[in-house]
Amino acid sequence: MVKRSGWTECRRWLWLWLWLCGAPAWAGDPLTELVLDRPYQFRYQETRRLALLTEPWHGSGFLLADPDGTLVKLQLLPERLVLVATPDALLYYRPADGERRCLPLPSSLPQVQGIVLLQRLLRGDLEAVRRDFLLKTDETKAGWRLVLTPKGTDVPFRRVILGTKNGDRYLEIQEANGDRSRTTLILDEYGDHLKVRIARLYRQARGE
Amino acid sequence: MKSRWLAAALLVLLGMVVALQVRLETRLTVFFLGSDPAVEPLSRLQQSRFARRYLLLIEPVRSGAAVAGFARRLRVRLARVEGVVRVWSLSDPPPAMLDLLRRQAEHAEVLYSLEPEREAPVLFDIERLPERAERLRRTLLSPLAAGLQPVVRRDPLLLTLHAFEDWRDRFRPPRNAGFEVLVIEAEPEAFAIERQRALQRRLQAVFTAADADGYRLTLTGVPIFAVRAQARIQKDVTRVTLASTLGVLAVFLGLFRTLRSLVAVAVVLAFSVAGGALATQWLFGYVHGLTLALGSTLVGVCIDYPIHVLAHCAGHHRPETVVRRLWPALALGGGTTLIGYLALGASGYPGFQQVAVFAAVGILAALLATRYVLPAFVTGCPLHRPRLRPLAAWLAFARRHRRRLRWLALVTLTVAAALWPRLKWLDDLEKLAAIDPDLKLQDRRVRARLGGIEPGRAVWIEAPDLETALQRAEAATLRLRRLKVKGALDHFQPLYPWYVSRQLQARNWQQYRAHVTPGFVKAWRQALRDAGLAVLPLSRLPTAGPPWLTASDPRVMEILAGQVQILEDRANLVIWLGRHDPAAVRAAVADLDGVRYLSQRDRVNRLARRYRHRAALALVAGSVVIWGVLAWRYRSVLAGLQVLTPALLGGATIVAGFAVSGFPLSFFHLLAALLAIAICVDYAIFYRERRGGDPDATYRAMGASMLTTVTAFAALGLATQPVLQALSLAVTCGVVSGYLWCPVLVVPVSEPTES
Repeated sequence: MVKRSGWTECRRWLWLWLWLCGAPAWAGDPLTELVLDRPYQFRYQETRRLALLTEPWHGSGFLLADPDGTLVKLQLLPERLVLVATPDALLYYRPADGERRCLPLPSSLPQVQGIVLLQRLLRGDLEAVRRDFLLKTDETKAGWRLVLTPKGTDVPFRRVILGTKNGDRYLEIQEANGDRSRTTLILDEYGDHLKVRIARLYRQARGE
Repeated sequence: MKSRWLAAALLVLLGMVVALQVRLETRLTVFFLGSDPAVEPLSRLQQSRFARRYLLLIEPVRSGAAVAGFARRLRVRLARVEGVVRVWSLSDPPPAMLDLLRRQAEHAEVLYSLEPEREAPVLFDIERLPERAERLRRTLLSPLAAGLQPVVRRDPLLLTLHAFEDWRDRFRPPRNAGFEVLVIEAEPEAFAIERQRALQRRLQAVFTAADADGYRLTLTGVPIFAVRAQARIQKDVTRVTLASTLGVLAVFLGLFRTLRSLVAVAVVLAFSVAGGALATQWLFGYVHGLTLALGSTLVGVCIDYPIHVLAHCAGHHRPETVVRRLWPALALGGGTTLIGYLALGASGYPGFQQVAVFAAVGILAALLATRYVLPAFVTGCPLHRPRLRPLAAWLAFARRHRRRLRWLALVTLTVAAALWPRLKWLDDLEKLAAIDPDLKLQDRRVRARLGGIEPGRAVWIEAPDLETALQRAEAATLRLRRLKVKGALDHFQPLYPWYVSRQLQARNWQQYRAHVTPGFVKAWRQALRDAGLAVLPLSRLPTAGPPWLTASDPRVMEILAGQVQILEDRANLVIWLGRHDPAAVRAAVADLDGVRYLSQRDRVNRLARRYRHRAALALVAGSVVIWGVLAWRYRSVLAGLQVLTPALLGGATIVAGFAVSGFPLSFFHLLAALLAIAICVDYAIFYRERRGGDPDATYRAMGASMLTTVTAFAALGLATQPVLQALSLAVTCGVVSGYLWCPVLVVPVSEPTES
């Protein structure tokens, strides 16, 4: 049995971020244009297939991304959860029991190496990305997809796919232990007014 | 001539042995606490690994500014510094922790509870299984369930997480409060001063190069204190030794105005200091810096003996004859001073035991050098009579108004006795140790940010073997849990469940086997199915075993730094405490065998109080012994008392001065009073005996002695250590006062005519 490392959600989520960052300006080379020009809000639908769950798990809510590097996931179903990733920390808040967690980023934990990759991409350090990953871009009539495959074995995911299909954006993550997840996103709104919402959710997650 | 060369050769030899053998110690704790068995174990544990760690607080100058990025870059640079073993952020859970959690999960069935008999019925309650399955599902879907997947597969009932309840705080990183704390573990020992100093220079260079504009960096840790204390003590030793030696020599030259006599006296003093240092080194294995600083005052005491000889030689007497004639008085004076220093050592205070040895051997060496070496150096030397007009005037005044002045002495004694109850006592050793206030402030700032474990306070467990120690620690942990619930304790760092006694493991296993029956497994499978969880991988509940937890992972020791000490004949364990109510913790563990609450500071201050009582006893006992020696010498109890009285009055003046001024008095002052008495008695002896046959020369010699002693002790006041300042003030006042009372209270063997 392949051992599954933690931080599944964290990794999945940050891939999503990566994808979102690239989404508005995808026309050119996706790797060189991973820059947000303003805050965006998406509706999302997420499906997870875990080896330890008999049925797929479904979740939905909103995703907000800010060009300053902050990403907020507001899960509304099946229960309300707030997750905020800043360049420095990952915050978690579960209103049902008031539980709050905080993890500094980037951590030396192997489970968050996905974030390190993301930071390299956002810094434009493509050389470092290509050192650890194989990158492949496909284009079809239905859309395009970018496939990242780790070269080493110490990365806890097998493959990450970012792409569009018939106008829908999606993110697929295949874990090393066989767990998979797929998130589809629909652009909801964008503009600087979203900064206020992002800040409010950030404060909520920090408990201020 | 021949004996001069012999003495010089011996001195050179002594100097070489001193240079080769003497090891200088600068740790303040060694001087203040020595190796007191009550305090030492906790210190030793704290100094093991903790002591090598630096804490670096990084705060943005502008509130709210991001700090993590800068901390990250700095961390990478610091990790490359020579002498740094590793650097990590306190807000980062140690990577090893998650791995270790998985490792502990392999033994979940034997470590899940501290009270299995009470908790097992609830933990394995079939009615609650649906609830547990739901919790398991939530854990699997939790985005922050870092590293828990392997734990879940091995221990689907999540018994491991139950066991780690006391450790939840460690898994929950502190809220991002706009600062970062980096831990820097150094490779050299905390008290390898030179290596630590070099490392601190390298760290400072990294801070400078790190472009830290906009950030405030505060570094603390035991090595910082150690290096700073060493620098201060070294500075004190240099300053005091230099000032004392130069001052004494200047006074000497001013009085005798001849360089050759200075050389002669220097030879005596060199024998005294070298002898003292060597004896201390041989007896203790080191010489403390503060002992050296205090020992340098010996120059002022020991110079009295050659001064007496020189003052009488100035009357054109042959040195040999003068020394022989003065010898009984010199020996008696030296003997009484020796008694004072020995009483100082008998006070039990570790630092002063060393000072006593240093001084006792130094005095003996000075006496012997005066008797057998000095005449060779003084023969043929042109000597001048010391001129001390103000002292001569006082002598005349005292003789004229002796009766009135005696009344004044009586009044002084009475007033001092009346003021005794008003004295304020200072028993806080931390204040006396004069730890650098800036560093203390810095340290407090960093630790206030951590809000974690209180240094120096812990629950201490001892037992003849590790198994018994663990059982005792488990009992203590249960008590501490209850205190935490009551709010008397913020948090604590137990050894459970990293270390679990075999007895508790057996109890856990027994309860587990009793409850995890086929019926239980069937119900659990149903609960898993109902929660939508995979039955097959999550229903394999171990029944073969027990899976004993035996050898500890070396990485556990990283987490339990300074908590486990396994010796040949015993095991010591420590449970570190967060903020707590000391009385509540003490009471909670009071009845547990081999368990006690240990507060280093309280204990140290209790020690200080004990020292004070002992110092008072030493003061009385020392005075009585000196009186006894004097009474034996003069064949009269009253004559002995008469010689002792000026010195007692000197001591009483010190006490009265402190009572009136309101300055708190420590046991150091009491010991200083004893020292002043021991020194002053010499003057009274010389004044009474006047063995040189020249009364004026005797009083001049006494005056010169008093001036050199006062100069030496005044130089001690230049030190930054409050202990040395206290001694300086008290001895100086006592000696001057004792000297001045001599002609008032002591009747010489043959009173000179008024003319």
